[in-house]
Amino acid sequence: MTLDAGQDRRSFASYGQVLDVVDVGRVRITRRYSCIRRDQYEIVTNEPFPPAFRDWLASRGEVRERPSFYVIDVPGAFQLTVAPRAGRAILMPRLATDLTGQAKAAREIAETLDHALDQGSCLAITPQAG
Amino acid sequence: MAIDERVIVETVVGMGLAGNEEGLIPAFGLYLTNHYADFYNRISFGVLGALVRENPELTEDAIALLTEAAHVCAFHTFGGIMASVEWDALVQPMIESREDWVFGMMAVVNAFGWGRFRVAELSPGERLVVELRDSYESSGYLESYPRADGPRCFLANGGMAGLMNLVYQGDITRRPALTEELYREVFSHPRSFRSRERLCAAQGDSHCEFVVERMPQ
Amino acid sequence: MSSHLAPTADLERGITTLGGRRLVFHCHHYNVFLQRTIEDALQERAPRLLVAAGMEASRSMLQKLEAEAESASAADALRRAADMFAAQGFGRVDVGELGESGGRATLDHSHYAVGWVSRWGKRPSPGCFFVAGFLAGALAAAHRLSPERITSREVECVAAGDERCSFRVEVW
Repeated sequence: MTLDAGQDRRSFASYGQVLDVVDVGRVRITRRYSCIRRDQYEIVTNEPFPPAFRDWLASRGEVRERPSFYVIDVPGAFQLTVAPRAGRAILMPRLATDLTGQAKAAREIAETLDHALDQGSCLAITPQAG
Repeated sequence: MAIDERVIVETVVGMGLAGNEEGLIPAFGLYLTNHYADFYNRISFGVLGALVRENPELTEDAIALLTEAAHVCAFHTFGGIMASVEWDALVQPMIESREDWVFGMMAVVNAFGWGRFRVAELSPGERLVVELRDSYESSGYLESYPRADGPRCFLANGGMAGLMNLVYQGDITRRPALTEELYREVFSHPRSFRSRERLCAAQGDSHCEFVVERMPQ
Repeated sequence: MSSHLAPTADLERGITTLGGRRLVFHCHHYNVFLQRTIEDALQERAPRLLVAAGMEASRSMLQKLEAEAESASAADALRRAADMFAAQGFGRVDVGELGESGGRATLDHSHYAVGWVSRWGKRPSPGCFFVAGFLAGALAAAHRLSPERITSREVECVAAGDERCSFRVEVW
C-alpha cells in the first residue's frame, strides 16, 4: 500500500472518502479517510477467509468470538473486525499509531490473508464458522 | 420475515462494547460512546427551552435543529452500521427483502439502550409506523419537567425518518459512500421521508409512536 | 487494571443502566453534531449548559456508584471514575493531579476532540465541554463536594490544534 499516493487527497478529504484502492493478490484493500491521524482500511476477498488466517491473527492479539464474526484487538496497534464467511474485514488503527504504520499493518494483514488463501485452507472452514 | 431480533440483540449486547486501552470504542466502523442519557436530555431540552423562552415563535425552528441532528445521527450511525462488517456477518444472512433492512436495523438499535422499538406497520417505500417504549428522551423529560405540551423524542423521531431515507431514498442496500453530498441529496429530496411523533410518553401517552411518510408532492 | 463497574442491560425493555441512570450508545457523528447545534444556537451561553449537563449527569451516576463501591480513598474514587470514563468510550483521562482543592487533568484521545476534527477540522477554541463537566462531577462525587463549588474548563484541546486536551478544575 503506497501511503504517498493518497497523501495529497488526504489533505482535502472528508470523513469516509476513499483515498486509494490496492489489490494484494486476491485481497483488495480500500483506504478511507477517518481523521487527520487515522485512516480506516477495508479488506475484502471474493471468497471466505480461511481458518489459517484467523489462527495467525490470534497469535497477534486477543480474539473476541461471536457466532458469526470475530474481533482481534492488538493493543497499541489496531482492531480488526472480521466477517470470515462474507470475506470482509475492517481495520481500525489506534490513534497512537502513525499513518505509515497503519498502512504497513494493513498491507501485512492483506499479504498474510492472500498467502492463506493460496494454501487453499478455506476448504477447512467449519459449518458453524461465520 | 427472517430477522431474528433476539439473536441480534443478544449478539450486540454480548459484544461487551467497552473502551480499549485508548479509552475508545471502535465498533460498526464507528467510534461509539456509552453516553449519559441525562446529558443528552439536559442539553437538548435546555436549548429548546432557552430558545422558546426568548422567542416562542422559534419553537418549530428549535425542534427543526434537534431533528436535523437526529437525521445526521441516523445517516451516519445507522448507515455506518448497515455498511459494517458486523452487519455483514450478523444481519445480512437473515435478510430476504429490502424491508428486512428496516427490521434488522431496529433490532440493532434495541441493543443500544434507547428503549424498545417495535415496527407496527411497514408499507414498502411509503410508510412506517413504529412504537417505542421506555424512550430515554420521554422518560428523561418527565424526570425533570412537567408533562409536555407536545412530543419530546426528537432523536428517535428524526432517527426513524433517517432510517426510511437510508433504505428507500439513499438505497443503503447498495452500500453508497456516506458522504455529506449523499446526505444532502437524500434528506433534501422533495419526496424524502419525514417523521412525526404521534404519541409521546412525555405528554402522557402510554408509549411513543412515530409515523414516517414521504413528503407530499 | 480497570476497576469500572459494568452497566446492566435489560434486553426486554431495551435499556441499559449504571448507578441507577440510563446509558445510551451514540457515535461521534451525533455527539459532535449535537454539540455544534447547541453552540450555534446558544453562542457564548452554550459552554455553560454543556459543562453543567456533563457535571450533573456524571455526578448523579458516580455518587450512586460510590455509595455502593465505598472506595478506600477519594483518589481511588477518582481513578474508578476515570476507568468508567474510558470504558464508556470518551478517552483515557489522567486524574493523578486532581485533588480536593482541584488541579489539572489531561486526556490524550478525546472522543469529542477527535470526532470534531474528523468532521470539521480545527476549531478556534477548546471543545470538550462534556469532559470538563465530567471531571467536575467526578471530583464532586469523590470528595463529596457541593457541585456549585467547582468550576472546570478545558485549557488545551486537540480540536483546537493542541497536542493533548487538558483541563483546569477549581474548587471554591
